[in-house]
Amino acid sequence: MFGKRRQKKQDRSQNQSSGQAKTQLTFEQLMEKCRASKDFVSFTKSDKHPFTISYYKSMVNPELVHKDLIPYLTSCSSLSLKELSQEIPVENIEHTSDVQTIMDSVLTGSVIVQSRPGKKDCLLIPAATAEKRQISVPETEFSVVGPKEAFIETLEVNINMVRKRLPIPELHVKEVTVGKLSKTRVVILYIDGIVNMENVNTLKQRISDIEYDHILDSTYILQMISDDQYSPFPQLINTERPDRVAAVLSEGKVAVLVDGSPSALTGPTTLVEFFSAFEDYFLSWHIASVFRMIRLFGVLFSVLSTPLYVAVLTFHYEMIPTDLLGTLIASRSGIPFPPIVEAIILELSIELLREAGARLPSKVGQTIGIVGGIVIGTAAVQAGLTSNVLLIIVALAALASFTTPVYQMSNTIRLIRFPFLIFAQFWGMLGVAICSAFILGHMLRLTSLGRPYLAPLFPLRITDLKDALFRLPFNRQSLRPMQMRPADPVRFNSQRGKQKNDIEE
Amino acid sequence: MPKSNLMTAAILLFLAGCTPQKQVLEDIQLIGVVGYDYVDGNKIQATVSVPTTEGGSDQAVLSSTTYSARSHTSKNIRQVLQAESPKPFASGRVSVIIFNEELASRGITKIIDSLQRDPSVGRNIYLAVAKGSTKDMLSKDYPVGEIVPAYLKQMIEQNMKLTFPRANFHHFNYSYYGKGSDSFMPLLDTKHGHIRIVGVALFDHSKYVDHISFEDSFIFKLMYQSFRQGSHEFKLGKDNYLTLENLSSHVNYDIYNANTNPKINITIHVRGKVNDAAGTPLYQGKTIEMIEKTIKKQTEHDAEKMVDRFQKKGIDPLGLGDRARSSARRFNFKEWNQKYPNIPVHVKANIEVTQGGIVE
Repeated sequence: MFGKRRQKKQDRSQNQSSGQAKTQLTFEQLMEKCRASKDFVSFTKSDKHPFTISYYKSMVNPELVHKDLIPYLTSCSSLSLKELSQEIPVENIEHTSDVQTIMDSVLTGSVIVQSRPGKKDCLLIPAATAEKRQISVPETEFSVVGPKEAFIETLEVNINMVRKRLPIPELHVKEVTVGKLSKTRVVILYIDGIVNMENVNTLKQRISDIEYDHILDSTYILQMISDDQYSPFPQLINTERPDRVAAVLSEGKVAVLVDGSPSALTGPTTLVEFFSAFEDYFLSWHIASVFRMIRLFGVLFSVLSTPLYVAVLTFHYEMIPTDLLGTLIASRSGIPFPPIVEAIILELSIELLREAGARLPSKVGQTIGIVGGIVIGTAAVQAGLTSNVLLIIVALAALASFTTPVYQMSNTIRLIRFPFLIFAQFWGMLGVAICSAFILGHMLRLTSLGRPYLAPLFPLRITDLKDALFRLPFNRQSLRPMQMRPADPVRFNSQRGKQKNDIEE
Repeated sequence: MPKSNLMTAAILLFLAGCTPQKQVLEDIQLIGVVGYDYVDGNKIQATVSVPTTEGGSDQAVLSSTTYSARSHTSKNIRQVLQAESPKPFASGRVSVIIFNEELASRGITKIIDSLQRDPSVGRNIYLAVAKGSTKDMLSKDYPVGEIVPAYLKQMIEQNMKLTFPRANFHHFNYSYYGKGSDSFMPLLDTKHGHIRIVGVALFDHSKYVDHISFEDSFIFKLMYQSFRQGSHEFKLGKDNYLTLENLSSHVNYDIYNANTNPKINITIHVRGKVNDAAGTPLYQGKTIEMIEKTIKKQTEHDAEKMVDRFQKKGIDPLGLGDRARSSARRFNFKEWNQKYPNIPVHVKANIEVTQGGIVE
């Protein structure tokens, strides 16, 4: 039943989009279709010159057409198409009569040159224009020190930014086109000889298996190729830093770039990698390790603090430290709501603030933050709607959730707080424990491109711990992470890495 | 998957009622201190002190109030108390339990039994005996900047760090239910508008029989446990007193022939610092020796006198019987109890004065 329905749908889509049509179009039919658009031009310069030129005005670089193409066509009017292709100073000229190829390339900005209208074979001269924005500073993964380049929406520029950092022929770039309508170019990057080809093949197969009509960003791909699409945890890292991509490629990971997306995907990844900011590598290892642990503590605090507040106040009054008891009773007295309602109201208002701040231009967003944080917060306490203790806890928890360097993960962290809250309301600390068990069990089963998600911790890989919860100095990082099963696990000679060839010695 | 779904469904269906009971912090009355008074015959009166707040959440003031009721059993008193309280009582935060002197001397078995059955009552709470009515003690206001429950708890707690031997509910239970030892607890009294510890109340099993003064509690503690801190005043000569601050003390029991002809040697090592010795020239080597000797003599004398007093009363707060049991095989408590009053106990004190302050 389902099979039939799917079949029907496919038929309909085939009829709608000519691109999928198995029934071959003739060249004339193609031209007919293209002419339906206003921006398609097809002309013959003059009767003296036999060549007919056709292209989408909006897709080609007019300068190239005017300066490099038309002069040649007019001056070499006596040549055949084959000879012409050798004359024109543009590379990758294709000489074909296959209508499908012609259609694909004219739609991506090639110019069709026919020797005479009506003849089937033609030249395809790539003349695509690429409007691109300036390379800018990374915004979601900003770092104080270190490079300040971020990916932009143009694939070539993005590949350039990676290749610039890894100028080796082993950096392979494989392209796959996905999306029935968008025909998005998706590129897989890896370093041959370091990467485990199993990872590359998994990724390649998953990307080429994508069934969707439009792919507009790498986050589409991220969700579609995740091992478990129903999990709230992101299973690939989404980064806008080319330096981070270069670094993980050299660890033996695989990166995916999507045309039109200013962020790359890298994988296979582990949970702890989501809490390592790339800036960690720019700071000395002690500082980086401490910051990383602060971030991990921040996550735990952010997820557990409000649920624990609710659990303790609702069920376990015995657990409150004696010195805090007076303060808590005092701050709770006169509040009309039970702790859970109070907590949910505050959590939701924080989420509201965040959402409002994110949807507004940055200057207004700051005002929203101040208005929400200070005005509403103090007013709520003074009005006796919430206790000031909870206000502090919720604000700190929200702050802690923003320390996570990967945006997708910080969203997840804010989300999984709510099931914890509900469990805490029903079963107190027992509920928090049960919910933790569920989440932990879920994470244990998660994989990223088939590799365990909790990896250096479970299964325990002691050598990988050097760059997990903390970061050891660079001379201790002589081995690539075992997690990726790299083809070449050795980064550098550890003996020589530890040597110090000072002049005194 | 279907199996686990079935399990989940079964759990939800059959265990839906198995959830912990909600006790929201502000909807209950947290009992801080309970005081038990003797009324007559079987009847006892219980007074509970609970913290309360006034004012809104922003500028709430914490104070304490008391409720009291009379009944035959301590749990029934709870019911009677409930009748006059705005919120239900919860006993999970009880920090001090006080018995009135008269009640204690008639035995506290019933109350102890019900307390130690109650899982919500902690084991690190303090028990105490009060001179006079506990109701009066708890319902007064004390200008100490703390509400009564916190005041009592902190007062006992900090004294147990200093000169008072440690004695919480756990220790009480150990010596109460264990053989070869008797329990003790602080003896409280209200004086000059404050509550103070006036001594160590000594129990013969469940009955309060005797007490030693607060001044002597240091000597008792020296024999009872090894500890740091605390200070004691010794008489050096005529009209000449000095204070020894304990830096670290260590006690050792040597029990010989526990089963046949017992003999006990208690050795106390004290390293201390002379704190307050106006008029005594500490810089002379001999003076220090003299001080050490005097303190040693006094300590040994006081300690032996104290043990002798315990033996005469037939009580064993030092747990000598328990210590003897641990040093002998097939220990016979019956014989021990018969011999106990006449066992020779020698106390040997080694006093070491390590410093006398910063002025040489």
